[in-house]
Amino acid sequence: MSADATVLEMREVSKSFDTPHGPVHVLHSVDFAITNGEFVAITGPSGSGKSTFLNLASLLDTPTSGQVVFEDADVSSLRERELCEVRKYRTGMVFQNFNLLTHRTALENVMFRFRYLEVPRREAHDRAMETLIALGLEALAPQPARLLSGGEMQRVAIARAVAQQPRLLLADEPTGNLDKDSARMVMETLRSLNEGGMSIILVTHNEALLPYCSRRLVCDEGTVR
Amino acid sequence: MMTGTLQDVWEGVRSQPGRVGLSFLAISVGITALTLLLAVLGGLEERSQRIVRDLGVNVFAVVQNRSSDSPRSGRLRREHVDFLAANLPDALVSGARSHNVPTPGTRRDVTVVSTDANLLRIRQWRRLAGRFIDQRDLDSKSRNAVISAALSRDWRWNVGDTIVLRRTPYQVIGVVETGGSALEGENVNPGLTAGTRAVFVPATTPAHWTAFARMQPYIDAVFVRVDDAQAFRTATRRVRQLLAQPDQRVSGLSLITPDTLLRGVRKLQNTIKLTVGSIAALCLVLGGTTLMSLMVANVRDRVVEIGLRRALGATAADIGVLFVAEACLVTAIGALAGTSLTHAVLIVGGPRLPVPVALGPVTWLVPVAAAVLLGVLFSYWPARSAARIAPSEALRND
Repeated sequence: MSADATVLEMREVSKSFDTPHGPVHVLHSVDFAITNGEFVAITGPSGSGKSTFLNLASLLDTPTSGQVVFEDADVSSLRERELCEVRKYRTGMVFQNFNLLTHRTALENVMFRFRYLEVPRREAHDRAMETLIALGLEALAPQPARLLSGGEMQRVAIARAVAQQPRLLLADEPTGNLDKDSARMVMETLRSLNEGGMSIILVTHNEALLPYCSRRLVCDEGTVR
Repeated sequence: MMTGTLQDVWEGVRSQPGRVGLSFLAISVGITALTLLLAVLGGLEERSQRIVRDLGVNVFAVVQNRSSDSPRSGRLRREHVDFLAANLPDALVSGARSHNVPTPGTRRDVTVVSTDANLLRIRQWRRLAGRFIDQRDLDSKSRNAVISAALSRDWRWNVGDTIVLRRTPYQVIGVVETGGSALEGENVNPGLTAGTRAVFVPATTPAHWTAFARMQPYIDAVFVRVDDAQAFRTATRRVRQLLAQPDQRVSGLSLITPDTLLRGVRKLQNTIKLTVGSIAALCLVLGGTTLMSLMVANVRDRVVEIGLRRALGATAADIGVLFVAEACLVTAIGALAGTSLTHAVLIVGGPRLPVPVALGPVTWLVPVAAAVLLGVLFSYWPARSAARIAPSEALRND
């Protein structure tokens, strides 16, 4: 894939939700594209549609209208099982609350990335360990996730998201629950992944993180500019 | 993949020890009751089969009622055997009378059964050695005797030995395996059973030491064997008609068929089905509802985990299967515990129970299968709810 190839594109994408009081239009005719190796920040006030945008970009949700194209394939009309296949192999997600399985070790949490992939346990172990080593987290491998600090948890969560080497990493407020030093370490980790060629969409309120990104978009009143 | 599934299921179960423990307990109690029910019903069924086998297949008996106050002139006599044999040409007919006879040198009695050559074939007993009484023995009043296997085993009597019954020497000419213990357990008319310590002698020989019998050759039972079930119905009807004829001068008789013998067992079976079955069903439904509440709480507590799994590529079906598998693991382990405990108790204390019990593959497999089915049934709705949670909604709980 060429350096400027589009990884994800949204064309005239709208999303609305049915409520007892009628439909609520969250996104209106959004056009968006992210190319290979881009690091895009999405900012905006609460309720502006950032999370909905991220759900559509991560293929966890489908648009009410418009097209979502992932690596030249229109995925907006795919069935649930086919969307799962794309999510399995092509995307990775990082969450504000880490969502680690706290009773498992850091290594087991990274191995969990392969839970729904046809990867033998031995191979999953090796690839998870390789990822932890690449991110400098090998010392954490045997530790139960519940004993890790917030920053360590988030970096392990990033390792889990990228262990399968997805084309697109989506991070939803990844530093939202971290102190300044931990946030910096997490962002350094994301930056190193981006320098390795991974496309990243970062949703954040934190203006201090914007220097890590190559492009900034603002989500406001259902549009992304 | 399988290891991952097992690990997920096990962790899901382990993460809620209180609720899982409660469901486990309820399921175990229900399965204990179910195992007990199956064991007792199995035991009663075995007893039924033994009873039918002991009487003989396609065999029925005519006995004098124990409570009958019939005059002596109205009792069953050997001439009735000959009369029925003459009128039922397709059937085998035999008569038998039991006497308790002391044996010299011991304080024990044996049951001496005076009978004819047909009894062995009618009762379908197994001949272990020598021969049974035949027509020549009857005609010549030979002092020949056939002994039961238990007598041969316990008293070391064998073919060729001479035994003394009421000062009369008899020569042992055969050994037969009589069975009959199941009939004794049913408290049936004693004329039907020879007991395990039985000596069979020609019907023509005891008259000399039974003073009254010399005048009136009474018998305790007439046994009739026919070829099949169809002939059985016809023969029972015919025997009733024949013995009701005035010239037979017999009254106070009962016809004993497998159905009449099994009436008590069937009644007990139905009572146990109703009582223990109700308890088992109630416990299992209680266990199922506890399980369902566990699963509902489980789903509610693990919405974010569901979202994470969906984000990692799990399908809705994967999520549903995960929760059903967790429920089935709880119920299967509960079932194994309940069934094992019941088996252990029944192996140790079963012989002291007032009802027979039978343990086997059915008492292991059916409870576990029922528990797994219960797990599927009662976790289906919570699992479906979990599977239907949209991944974006699930992660919004983050």
